[in-house]
Amino acid sequence: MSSRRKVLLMGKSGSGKTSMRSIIFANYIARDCSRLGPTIEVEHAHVRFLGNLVLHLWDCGGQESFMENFLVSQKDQIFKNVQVLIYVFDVESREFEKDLRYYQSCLEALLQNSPKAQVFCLIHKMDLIEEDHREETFKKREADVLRYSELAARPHQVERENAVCQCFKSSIWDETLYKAWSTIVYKLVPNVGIMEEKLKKFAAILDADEIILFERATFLVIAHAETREHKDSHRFEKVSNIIKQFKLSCRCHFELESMHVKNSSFSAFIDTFTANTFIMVVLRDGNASVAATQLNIKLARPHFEKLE
Amino acid sequence: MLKQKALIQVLEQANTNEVTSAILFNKEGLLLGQSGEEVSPTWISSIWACFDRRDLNESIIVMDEGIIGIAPVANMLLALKASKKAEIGMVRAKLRAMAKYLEGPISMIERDV
Repeated sequence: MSSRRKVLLMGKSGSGKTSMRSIIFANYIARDCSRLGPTIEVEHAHVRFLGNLVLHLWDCGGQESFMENFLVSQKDQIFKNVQVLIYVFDVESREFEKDLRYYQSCLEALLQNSPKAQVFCLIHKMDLIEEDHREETFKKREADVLRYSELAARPHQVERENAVCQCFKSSIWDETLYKAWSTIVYKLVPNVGIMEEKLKKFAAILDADEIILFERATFLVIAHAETREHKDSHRFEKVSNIIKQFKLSCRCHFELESMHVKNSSFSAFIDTFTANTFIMVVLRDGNASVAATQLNIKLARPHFEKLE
Repeated sequence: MLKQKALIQVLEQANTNEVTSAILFNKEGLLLGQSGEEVSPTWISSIWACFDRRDLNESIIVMDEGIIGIAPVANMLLALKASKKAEIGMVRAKLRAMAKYLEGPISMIERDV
């Protein structure tokens, strides 16, 4: 059974909504994004994610005249039946107060029309801030966003748990974009819990340090299981980013099927898994048998295909 | 599923009486597990492919430097390598015992693939 999710992508003009959509779902690389023009009114995109989960992305143009329209004459059309609102802020915006007021109006309209929707805010273009100030600036912006979320949500508090939304910092030039989107997508995928249970069992059988499941088209992380703690908490996004860059740099029409990286202390396998996923298995043993691991991945496949 | 550690523990049991290594590999020559000193599964599988007929149950190759015994296990191959001091009968007996022991579990795994 296919399930549709209406995802609104909103934010001020030039904040980078279309750029990030193109990178995540349309295989753009970051520097191609300079070619994108401004979005007029609403661009619709259907993205098949994990086979039967269809994300219906409404990329809403951010120019003020459009925004006014969305909030007044097209209010019902835009804000009805929304599952997710992703609101993008430009961290360098000179009129942050104004952006926040627009955000508040959007959130109010959303809460009236789709009270169950989840809201995520991205503080985008973080790469423009000097590295030492990034955390501080983000914290400040986040506090502002949360304050305005509260303002918008207060009258509706009764039926709403996630009135105060989640904030992410992001930039199209590093892995933070993947981090943000992975977290968002994670909340949209049904039975992630069961998948993680199964991955854990699989990891125990293989004696693997870590197993990660990626969505095939976007290479976003869906689920993972680790048996040994790893100190780098950004590793998933880094892998997503690296593999995607690699696939794009190949510039060929062949599909990536499998990959094996090893040195004396570990071996990692990336393999096609179910129709919609890739799996990555990390083993501590550098001499682990390729054939045996691939055999086991093949054996695990049917168990995960049943879940989708 | 195939637990590599368990497989290696089983294979290690063959390494006595001048038998120096035991390996399990598939017909493409890709290693699934090995115990003892390193042996190239690639050339053993190509030797097997040269002689392979449906009714070939085992082959023992005696060379100047040592002995190699090969036997099929389900759709895979088991090979034992022994030094030149080893008794051929002993190598053969070990090969048969090990192949028989692995036959059940390995064919079960292959059935599910």
